[in-house]
Amino acid sequence: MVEAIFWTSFLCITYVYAGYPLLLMVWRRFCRRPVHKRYQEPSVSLIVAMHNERKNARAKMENCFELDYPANKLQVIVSLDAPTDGTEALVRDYAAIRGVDVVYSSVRTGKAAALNSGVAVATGEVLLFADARQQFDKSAVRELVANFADESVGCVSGELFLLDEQTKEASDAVGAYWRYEKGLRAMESDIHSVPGASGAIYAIRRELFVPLRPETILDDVVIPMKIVLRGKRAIFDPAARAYDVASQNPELEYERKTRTLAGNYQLFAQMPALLVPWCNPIFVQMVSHKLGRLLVPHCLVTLFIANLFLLRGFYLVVLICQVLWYGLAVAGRLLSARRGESSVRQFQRFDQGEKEI
Amino acid sequence: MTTFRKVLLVPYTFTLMNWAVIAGFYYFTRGHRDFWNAPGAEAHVR
Repeated sequence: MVEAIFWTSFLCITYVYAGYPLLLMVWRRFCRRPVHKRYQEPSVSLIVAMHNERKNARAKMENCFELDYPANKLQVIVSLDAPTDGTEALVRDYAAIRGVDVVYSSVRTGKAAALNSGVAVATGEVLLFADARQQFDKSAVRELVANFADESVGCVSGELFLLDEQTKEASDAVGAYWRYEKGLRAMESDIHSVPGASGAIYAIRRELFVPLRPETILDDVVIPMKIVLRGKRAIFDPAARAYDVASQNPELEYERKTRTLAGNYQLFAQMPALLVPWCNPIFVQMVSHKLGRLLVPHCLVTLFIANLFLLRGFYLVVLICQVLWYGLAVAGRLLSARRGESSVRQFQRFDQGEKEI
Repeated sequence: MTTFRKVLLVPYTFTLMNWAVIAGFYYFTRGHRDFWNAPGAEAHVR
């Protein structure tokens, strides 16, 4: 019994992180479905939902008007969700100069409702969703919409680059994890569809948009998956790029991850059809990529507990590896805490220096 | 950050991200988390 628990847990973890990528490599080799891109210029509505984004709003709007796309075919919509930090005044000032369409809600309704309001005033054939913080590459819109020349494509996700302090692609643990994740997405996209887009940059055909439920946490998974369930593809195009700064410590990434994972539980509760093989054309990808990630932590716990009752041969080696791994995790925790304190001290010195000036 | 430190942070980050699954389930079932204002509310890793 204990051995069965051990091996079930072990195989589950191994499949999710190693077996599934290997399966995708083989699958892609035999079942690749290339996208027929053709450069074109349909009208595009770029929708950005904002709550309190005073520090990002201006840079984001400037970035929207620097894009390599005809201005008369690009509608920029900012959907304000009851901001309280001055974002509204900043956006309205800019809108008066550059022609941004502003949608305003005086009551906090959440991101999903803000996106619904933005889409309600959109006139473009293509809806492009973006977040306030990330910056688009100049050619991002052109690259995204070129994919819609392929009739099978309903949603296109761009690639988000996480940059470090030297503006190079982040090479820490979070950056490495993100590169692994993007590798999976590229393979899933080649086979059929990705089970979720990058919230920072994704576009859909206007006619495929279905209003989101206001409590939706992951619009960038719900919208693409609704499109996939309707028979179209949701693909990943690394040529369409957006840039962000990587979380400087794992704790910040943890906060973000917690939100994302709560959204994954909500996703399965809202859309049970995703777990029905004959309804979901990417059932294997959904189970392996999304559901698998929710099962792994439980498997890690059962693996460790079962291993405590198996202290011989191979099992003993695995137990030693686990103890070493968690020991290193504790050391990493201490290191991360020290770095955090160091960053705070540096900031305090900088802050005091500025005041003296 | 040195390579040694980066490597040392891998097991911690992996463990923390797995703990986030448990925390995510807690917030989902309790449904009281303010996700608009949460750090990184504009998610990029799925």
